[in-house]
Amino acid sequence: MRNDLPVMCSILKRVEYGATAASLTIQYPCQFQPGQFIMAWIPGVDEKPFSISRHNPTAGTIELTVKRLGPVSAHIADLTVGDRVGIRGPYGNPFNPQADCVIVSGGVGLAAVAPLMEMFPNAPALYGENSSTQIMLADRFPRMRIFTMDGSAGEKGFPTDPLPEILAARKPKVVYTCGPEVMMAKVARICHDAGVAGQISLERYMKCAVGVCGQCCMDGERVCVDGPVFDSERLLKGKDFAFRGLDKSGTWVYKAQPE
Amino acid sequence: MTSSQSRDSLLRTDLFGRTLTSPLILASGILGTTKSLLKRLGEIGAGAVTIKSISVAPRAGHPNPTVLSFGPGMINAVGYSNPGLKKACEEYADLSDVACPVIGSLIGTKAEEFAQVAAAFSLLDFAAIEIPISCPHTPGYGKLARQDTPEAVLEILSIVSGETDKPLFIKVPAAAQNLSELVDASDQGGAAGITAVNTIGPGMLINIDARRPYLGFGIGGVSGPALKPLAVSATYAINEQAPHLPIIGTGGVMNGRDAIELIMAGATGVGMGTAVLDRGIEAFAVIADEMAEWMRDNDISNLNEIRGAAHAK
Ligand SMILES: Cc1cc2nc3c(=O)[nH]c(=O)nc-3n(C[C@H](O)[C@H](O)[C@H](O)COP(=O)(O)OP(=O)(O)OC[C@H]3O[C@@H](n4cnc5c(N)ncnc54)[C@H](O)[C@@H]3O)c2cc1C
Ligand SMILES: Cc1cc2nc3c(=O)[nH]c(=O)nc-3n(C[C@H](O)[C@H](O)[C@H](O)COP(=O)(O)O)c2cc1C
Repeated sequence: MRNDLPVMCSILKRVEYGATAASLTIQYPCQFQPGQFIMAWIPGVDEKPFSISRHNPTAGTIELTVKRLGPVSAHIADLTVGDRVGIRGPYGNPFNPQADCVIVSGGVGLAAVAPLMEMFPNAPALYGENSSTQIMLADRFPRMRIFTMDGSAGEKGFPTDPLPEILAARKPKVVYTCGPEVMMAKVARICHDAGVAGQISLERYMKCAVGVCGQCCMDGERVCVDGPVFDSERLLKGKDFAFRGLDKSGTWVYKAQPE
Repeated sequence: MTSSQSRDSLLRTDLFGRTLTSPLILASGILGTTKSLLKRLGEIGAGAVTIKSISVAPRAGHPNPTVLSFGPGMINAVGYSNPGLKKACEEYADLSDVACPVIGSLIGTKAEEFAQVAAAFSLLDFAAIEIPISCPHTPGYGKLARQDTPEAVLEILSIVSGETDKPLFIKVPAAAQNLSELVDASDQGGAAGITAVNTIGPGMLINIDARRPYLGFGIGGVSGPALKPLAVSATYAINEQAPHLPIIGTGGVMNGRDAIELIMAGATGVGMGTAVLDRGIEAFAVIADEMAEWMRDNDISNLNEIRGAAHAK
């Protein structure tokens, strides 16, 4: 069996995005495919999954982009250069990368698709936030088409708004998406209607990250190893996508439904 | 003749009044969080599946890391996270589409709790009920609450059997000094069988760079290959002492030869948890294939021919 214990790794660089989020560059040489995630451990606090938003195999670094939501993410987003964090991974079933694609993200879901946006510089990239103060990675991806709900930056509206038109015009092979599940449900339906494949990166409460504990189960699949990337048609056929997920205790929590 | 025998006919196993298509049983606490996972495991070919242990009230469990693989095994301190009895009864209300028998796992901190879970489980379609008295890392339960004594086993069995007629399995600790007394108490208390063993613990691993234990709870139970010798010896000893009690031998089974080894020690069923990490969720099919292949190679047509074969007769 593999030895898979977290390794303490140094933070080399940190970039802030307003008060809400930060990107951390961490010394952690590894093999990585876009869509995979690591487990980040703050000793004595907790350990949670985070997507790798950038991989530099030459420098042996990974980057995490973390939004402050609760105590654990705040703790990680507050780490500064010279601090250390425990890392294990990468884990998970990656995106199947195809250049002829469209990339749609919402909120911190941007972290999961950022390596694809780097890999395919000509692919249209749509990204949504509530408001201008939350925007991340804008310098790295100047081509991103930004949407805000309050119209304070980019276009007012959702990143899914122009998607039907873009699919009709470009007829891409695939749409990649990560973000709030209501948004991804919309993307899945738009893809279905347009006859375009969708690959969706899901989020569920995770504990072991290696397919053993059953914590992140949905539709009999383990999001940590069978996902986090799933085909959208597969998710539309199931029952739990955009419907429910297990909380820390294993109790079903029902998700907000689209109007 | 034996060389062409099908896997199912080679591995067919009678346990708790049911006929299983394979002796390989999902151990409690691994994957058994939802009905959809049990259903998938049944489709893959598990002989039976055990749900994650259920208490009356919901439990969030210990902070992460809760499950870590360290090479010779896994160490875990999940801390019995579970949605509580009410939600569990909703989840498992209809088990008709799970292709194999389902075992309920029941935990409690006091008499009323054991009684309440037992009464509710009794109404569900569980083929048996397993009672772990042996968790090494959850305050209020198992070893940390001294449930691993013959007195506690007798008391728990008397409460639970007052609420249900289902076959009851006592899940014993690894490396128990008082194993023979626990087996006597289980037998006297009317248990239908024994599950041997739970994880060994408490164990701890420390990250020396962080100068902290890895597990969120600090201590945990060790499973996987490191545990196998303890599972084999416990199974052997129980079978020697009480040959009439069926045993679900559990601990460190990672391949078909390990499973055969436990059967030769005297096991009827073979529990598997950590194998899911090493061999994937398909382990229940792959390891069954490996067992069948070994049996064909050795002209064995039925597991009864080799059960307990390692005992000096
Ligand atoms: C595969 C995977 C990849 C992930 N990648 C990233 C990543 O790259 N960057 C990142 O910042 N996070 C990522 N997450 C989420 C991350 O693991 C944590 O769940 C998140 O940071 C919140 O943890 P917390 O303990 O700080 O907050 P919690 O205490 O869990 O939550 C604090 C508050 O935020 C709310 N909340 C939690 N999650 C969400 C959500 N998704 N949307 C809206 N409200 C929420 C809670 O309800 C609560 O009110 C990923 C999760 C998974 C499963
Ligand atoms: C992550 C994990 C969670 C577990 N949770 C439970 C549990 O809730 N109830 C229980 O009786 N045993 C629990 N166990 C113990 C297993 O059922 C089993 O006895 C032990 O892991 C040895 O088998 P293995 O080596 O095949 O994993 C757990 C084990 C692991 C690894």
